[in-house]
Amino acid sequence: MTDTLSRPTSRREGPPSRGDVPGEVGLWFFIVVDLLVFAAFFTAIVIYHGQELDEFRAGQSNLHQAYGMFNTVVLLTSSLLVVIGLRLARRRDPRARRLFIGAMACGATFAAVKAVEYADMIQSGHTVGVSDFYMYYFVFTVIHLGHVAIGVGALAVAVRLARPGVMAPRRNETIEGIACFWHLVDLLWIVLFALLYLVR
Amino acid sequence: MTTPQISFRDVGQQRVLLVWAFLVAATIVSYFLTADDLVGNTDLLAAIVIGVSFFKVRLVVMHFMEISEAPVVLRMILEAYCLLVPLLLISLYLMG
Repeated sequence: MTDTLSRPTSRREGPPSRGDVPGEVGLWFFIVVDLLVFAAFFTAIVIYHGQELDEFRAGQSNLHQAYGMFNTVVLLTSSLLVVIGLRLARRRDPRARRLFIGAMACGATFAAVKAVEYADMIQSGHTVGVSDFYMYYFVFTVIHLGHVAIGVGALAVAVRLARPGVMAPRRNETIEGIACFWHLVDLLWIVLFALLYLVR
Repeated sequence: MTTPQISFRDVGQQRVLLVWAFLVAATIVSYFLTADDLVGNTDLLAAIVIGVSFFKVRLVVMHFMEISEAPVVLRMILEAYCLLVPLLLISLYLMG
């Protein structure tokens, strides 16, 4: 070994070299399947929009687009924290933990805003049985919220793995996989937000 | 051996920060463009909003998930997704 401290001494101490799968291969099978399932959800929303335009617009008009936009920015920011946290974690910088905790807090914020939205809609009588728009809205955003919950749990694991001195085998790959899952949560919401809240 | 103190610039933040800033800006712009009575909610606007949302997805995939550095097969699958799904959705939207 001839190079300076800055050169990775093992395959996973630096950014992945070209040709490495981020995280684990098995996780990517899951991610691709999840992307396809959500593509079907997206398709269902657009088909419903085409078939019941008035009902769609009536339902959508009772959403608070500002809440949705705020939540999108919250998740985008959480993904930024996870990207930086991962890079720090690879170099065993203890600040990574703070960033992962910050991302968890963003996830909790997202859930809290959704709870407020749901409560508001239920109290106003905008519920699943009343209109198919609310059915699609609640079913798809609740499924997404489940992903958020799993992601927050996974980030908690990343916080533990990023503790100083942790020498778990495949530590870096596991944190990478957790990061990728979180980005999946973020990107699924980007599209859901556009299709449910924005596209009239 | 202590962990060397690393300034944020050393971990290649700048491109990631730029991507994030674009994502947030695109979100805010989309929100205002689709606000009632602003531009007129046309099919073109819908196609743009759907297209932009998947452009955002692709940025997250390539630069946050680091797929731009991943094996070609995986990258091609995800590139295909980012291209074909919005094409499908926009087509269905315009036909509906």
